Amino acid sequence: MSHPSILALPADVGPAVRLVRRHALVRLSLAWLAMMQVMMLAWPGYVREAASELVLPTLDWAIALMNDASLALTVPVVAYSAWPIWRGAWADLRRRRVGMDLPVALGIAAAFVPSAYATFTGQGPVYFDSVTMFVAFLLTARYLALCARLSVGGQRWPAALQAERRSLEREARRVGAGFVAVQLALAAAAALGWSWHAGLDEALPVVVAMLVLSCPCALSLSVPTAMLSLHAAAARRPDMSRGQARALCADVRRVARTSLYGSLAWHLLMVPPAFFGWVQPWLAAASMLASSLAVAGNAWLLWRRQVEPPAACAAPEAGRC
Amino acid sequence: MRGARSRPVLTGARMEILYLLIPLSLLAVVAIAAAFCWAVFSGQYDDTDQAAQAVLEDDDGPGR
Repeated sequence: MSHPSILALPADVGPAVRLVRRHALVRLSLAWLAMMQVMMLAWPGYVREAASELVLPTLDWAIALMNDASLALTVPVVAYSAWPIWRGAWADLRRRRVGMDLPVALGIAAAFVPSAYATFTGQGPVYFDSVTMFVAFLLTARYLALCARLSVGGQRWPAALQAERRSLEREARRVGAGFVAVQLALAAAAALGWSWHAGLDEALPVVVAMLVLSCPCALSLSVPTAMLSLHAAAARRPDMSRGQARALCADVRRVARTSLYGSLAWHLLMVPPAFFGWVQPWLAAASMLASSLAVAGNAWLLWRRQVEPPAACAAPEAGRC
Repeated sequence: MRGARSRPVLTGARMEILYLLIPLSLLAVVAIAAAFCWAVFSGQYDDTDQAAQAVLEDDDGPGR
């Protein structure tokens, strides 16, 4: 096979990396499994508003039972699947910097702790479906990034490409850090404004949605996925001329920056509706996954463009294309 | 006919089956999770390319 799938583990990795990847896969899949169960169990809670007085006592009894089951399913997701997030957030705190894990960890805690409390007291709404969905989507984006890193990681990079990659990564980090700092400030403002204005129960979903939106997953995917496409394209065409290599580099730079600023724009677009409470936490999580997948798709299109020249090109050997 | 009286009323007695069904579904989740953990940690998801090719490369000619 000329180009292995990025989901296949490269043969040259050691047992430690292999174990990390297996754990990542189990964490991800458990989160998806629990998410689908919790979603099903959350359904009666959503229809409660429309239920007639006649069925309400039975429905509330069933909802309490299903909340118990949701809690039992969410605890392993928060404790095991989200473990890398807690570790990363703790490392961020210790180094006194704002990383990608901090807002994510805050979002999970802000949704999980009040939901667990509401389950024990039997009062108030629960957000277990949002918690598991958020963790599952986030881990999906991270798993793709891990696979991309692993399949690019072991390769040798020419000096020019290396410099290109470094400068793009620096740019993505700078944009991501600024974005997270602003988002955290906005989430804090939403928390204050809403709890002062409408009470804690109303403030909670707004704050969770804001924190979910502050996860820069798509931003941090933009450069590794474009680099992966660059590498796959370069491996397909070992006889590239200098001019072609330069054109490829320019294309990669353009795609990486389109993804970076495009996902930034998308997240910024979602912020005002979330701030005013029009975005449910689960919708914020779905929007986050959509932007991550769009970034991955953009890199895939780049690879397709580079590997398969357009069919309209009649004479590629004449160098006219 | 379509008044409130003709609507089926859910009673606690019938719904008590949930006490059985929900724990059962949790047990199913645990079983699926355990089977998946075993499959991943035994390496079945490490090289998906090789696994996809293996069925084609199998030597199952008649002379064996």
